[in-house]
Amino acid sequence: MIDVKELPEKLESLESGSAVALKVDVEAYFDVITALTDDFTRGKEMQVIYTTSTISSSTIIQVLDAFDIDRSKVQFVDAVSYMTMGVDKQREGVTYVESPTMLENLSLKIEYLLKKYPTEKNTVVIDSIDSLAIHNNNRILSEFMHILISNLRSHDCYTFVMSVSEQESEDIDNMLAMVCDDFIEISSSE
Amino acid sequence: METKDDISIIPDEKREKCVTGIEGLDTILNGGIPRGNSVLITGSCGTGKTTLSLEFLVHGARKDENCLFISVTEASEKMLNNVVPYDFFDESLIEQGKLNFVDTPDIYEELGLRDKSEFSFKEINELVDKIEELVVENDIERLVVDSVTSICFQLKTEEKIRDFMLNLMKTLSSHGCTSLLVSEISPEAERYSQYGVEEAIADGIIMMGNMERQGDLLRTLQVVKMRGTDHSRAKYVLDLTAVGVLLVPMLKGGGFDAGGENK
Repeated sequence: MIDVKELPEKLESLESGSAVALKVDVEAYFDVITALTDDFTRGKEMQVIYTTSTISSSTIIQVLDAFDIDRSKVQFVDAVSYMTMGVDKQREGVTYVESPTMLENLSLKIEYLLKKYPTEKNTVVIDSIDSLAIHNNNRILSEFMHILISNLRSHDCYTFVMSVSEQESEDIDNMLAMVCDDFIEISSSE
Repeated sequence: METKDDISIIPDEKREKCVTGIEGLDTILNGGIPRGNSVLITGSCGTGKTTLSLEFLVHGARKDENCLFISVTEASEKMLNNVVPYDFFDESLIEQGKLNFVDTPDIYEELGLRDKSEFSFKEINELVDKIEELVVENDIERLVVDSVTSICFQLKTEEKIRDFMLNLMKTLSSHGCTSLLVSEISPEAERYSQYGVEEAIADGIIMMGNMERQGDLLRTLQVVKMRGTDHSRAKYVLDLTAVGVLLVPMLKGGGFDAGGENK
């Protein structure tokens, strides 16, 4: 287990094309988001595609804005706001998927953003596997993760799959062990 | 009569392919549609038939091929306003004559067929001759007819539909023109074409559908048949985007019955 403050350094040591499972203490959740969208990408020609099925993109955007983080390189795929009837207007930098059960559409939106905004390097964040597991059968979720990560590897993307320590499940741990190259447990500093 | 020496059989892997430019589809088709094939693009409304067909032409025009869209169901201008605005669409392709649009009411007017409720065999031949004239005069390499079902509506009998389809496909193929013939079917249809004749004659069938799974409506695509190439027969989920049609394999959930239903 590492402290969240050590995460940026740990991320720097990763090879491109890596798929990494991040098991996060709930207190460290927003620090991890900051590390992935800011520390890791700063000074690099890198785009972040942040896929959320946990909390809405507008909430994450508020947090990033509160920390004064540059969002110009972050594109969101939001699979939660439509489901909660939380989309009253389309927001720039956000692509919506109607429901977290539409896993193929999540892949399609990621593919779309990779083509629409081609950059030298890309980071794809899946936040989170736990929330996807609420809405999807384990077998279809495993199949989705396997296909998605294989595809992202072919694009030489960094892939981060987040899960929350407090929602630990053996099935999900096994699934992540099978599709990811690395497994990092992150605790809060406080 | 053709003798054995006159007939040359080109192995599938050596047939020249017409690269559609739709990345996922070219992968499914092992490199593209064999040149000269007439392919039925079939499905119910809202499945993306027109958008996919138009993209096929735009990619062709960008590769300097002359392309023709024959619009039967709606005026081409209105159709262009309604499709997804492509990032790669260049209006100069139309000005350069690479991407051409013809509306059937104009053809019918020229042939004196405008007020006919049913075409005779002679009129069917005249219609095919007119399409051939357009293909030859403009050196068309890619053609879309959207839709053949609407033309067939005025043919009434199975014999006439068969005659029209056979004649059209043979003519297009003889000029090396790769064509997508859009076919409309009802969501409940258990066959690939409205009249059952078109599917038997076509060199290829690309089936587009709406599949309902747990209340979600997914757009799907499946290549059912394609003469002249090996191809995947699996079902894919597609999205119509500004960067073009995107495809991913449909998830099966390890045999889990996800409750999918074709619409």
